[in-house]
Amino acid sequence: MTRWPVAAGAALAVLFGAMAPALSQPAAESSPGISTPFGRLSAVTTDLGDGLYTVSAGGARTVFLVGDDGVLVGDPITPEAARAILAEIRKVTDKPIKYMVYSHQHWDHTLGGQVFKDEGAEIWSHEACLVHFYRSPHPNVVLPDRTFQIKHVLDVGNAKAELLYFGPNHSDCTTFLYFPANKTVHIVDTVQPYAVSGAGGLMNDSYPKLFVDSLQMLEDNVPFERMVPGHGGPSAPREAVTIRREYQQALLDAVKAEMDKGTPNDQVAKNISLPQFKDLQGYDQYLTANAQRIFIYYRIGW
Amino acid sequence: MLRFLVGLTLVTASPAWAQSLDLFTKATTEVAPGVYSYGAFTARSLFVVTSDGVIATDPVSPKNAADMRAAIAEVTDQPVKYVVYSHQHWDHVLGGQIFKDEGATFISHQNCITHFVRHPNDDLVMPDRTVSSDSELTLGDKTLKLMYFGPNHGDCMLVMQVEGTDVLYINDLVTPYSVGLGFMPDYDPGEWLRTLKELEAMDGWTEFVGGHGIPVAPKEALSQRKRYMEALMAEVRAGIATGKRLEDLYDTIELGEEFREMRGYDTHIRRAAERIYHYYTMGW
Repeated sequence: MTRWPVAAGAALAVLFGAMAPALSQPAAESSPGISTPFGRLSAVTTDLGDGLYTVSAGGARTVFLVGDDGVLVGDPITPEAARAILAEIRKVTDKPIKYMVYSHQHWDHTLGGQVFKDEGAEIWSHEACLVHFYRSPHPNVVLPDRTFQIKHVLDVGNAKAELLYFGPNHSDCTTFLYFPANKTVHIVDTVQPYAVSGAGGLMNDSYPKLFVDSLQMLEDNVPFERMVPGHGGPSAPREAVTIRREYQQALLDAVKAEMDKGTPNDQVAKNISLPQFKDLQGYDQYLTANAQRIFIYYRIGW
Repeated sequence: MLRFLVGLTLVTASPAWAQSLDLFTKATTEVAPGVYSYGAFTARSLFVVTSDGVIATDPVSPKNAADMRAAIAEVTDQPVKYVVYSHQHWDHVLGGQIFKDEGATFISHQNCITHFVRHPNDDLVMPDRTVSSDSELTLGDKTLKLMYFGPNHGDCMLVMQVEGTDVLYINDLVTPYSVGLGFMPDYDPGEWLRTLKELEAMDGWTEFVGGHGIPVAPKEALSQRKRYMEALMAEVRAGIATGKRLEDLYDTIELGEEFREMRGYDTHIRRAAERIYHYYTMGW
């Protein structure tokens, strides 16, 4: 009988971003307290330069870009967080909110868009998110006004954001939001810097193999120098993406090799060990669950 | 559904039907005139012998397909003219080449195509034709109804029934007297439950052949699986409403006596609770 070496509470912590203590939070530049179901959290804004800012609020992280003509904002996160994010934006500029862009469909990032809709924002997502939004309606999800398929550039005057799609990875509608002016890409959940796959390691609706292709395409095609994640600290260098891709590939290779050896089904994941990645956050807790997900991929092709 | 913990855990299942179950010896069982259930606990398919050839379903693997081809030959000399995939998962659809070589036409729901293209496999024969909603496949004296209930276990599942029989082929939506795989990677729990309710309410059938497990099971086994999903989802939802953390649910999930007897309960119940937790908290 399999017993999972999982502390599911830690899974929740991962889900809500407590996973990356290695990425130290900057000194709070501003912190209006907000209440969430998960306790009182502060909105903390970091100036990344060239009009780009990142805000941590409501258990997740988003970005906003300030240009001559207005503001583009990423995920609203929750209604409370969205109000706090708007307050943070208003400390920097009184320009209108022109665009809001969803990173993907999961509710721990996508609630509260009405706050920005009320400010006049046009809401964007990848078109594949629509199916999820319709299948799993939520009163606090505002449907996108516009969608894109491969690439779309939004500008707020002089400042530009590229909405990039490189296929399925953590979700099948992940938008990588790239800010060319300072070579920064916002990657929500597909890469949690220096960490294995979290949320209990299940990766339920993730695409284990296409995940690698997706990050490889990003690395091959986009000259980013740093990334802003969807949980945890404000940014990480480009290598965080490479390491995550290499971990995923190593996991795929190890599980496939173990299956090819004829190891009994219930033993495959338990036999997996990737010592070269042992320093990644969550390695001890989630490696076996991550491997189990890969095993299932090779069994059912999904 | 994937059974990666079969075998060793079976002896813990108490129902009488399980005690004598042979997991791996494949056999052919005629479940209605000309309609056969073929396989073992590990995987099971349906084939239909008509006056003008055979309609086979999921080939499962190259080895299984060869075994199934031999089993078909024991029943009839007719060629296999169609192969219908129940859904996209590799533990059911691989190995069709042996049927392709004798000229069979392959059919699946159109949503499977995206999965087949995204996740190529050398042992997969791509469908020649697809259906997008309820359809009928007539060959000789028999008509196989292909019914689409929307997304549930994946999003391209076809439930099948030979017209004039009271037996359905329901692959993986129900494995008789078993709980689902806890991971449920590409499953939509809410839509799955809806599908089970629609099947339960549907008249004109009394038994079904599942994609794993015993050769044929009564409709009640579907109702039990529906009650299990209702209980699981209600328990997790109630837990969330009372402020339980995922950790609490994971450690304490308990659905009661009826469900504890279901095969795989001990192995999968915690992961199943985690899956439902994410369904209710992340919308997926």
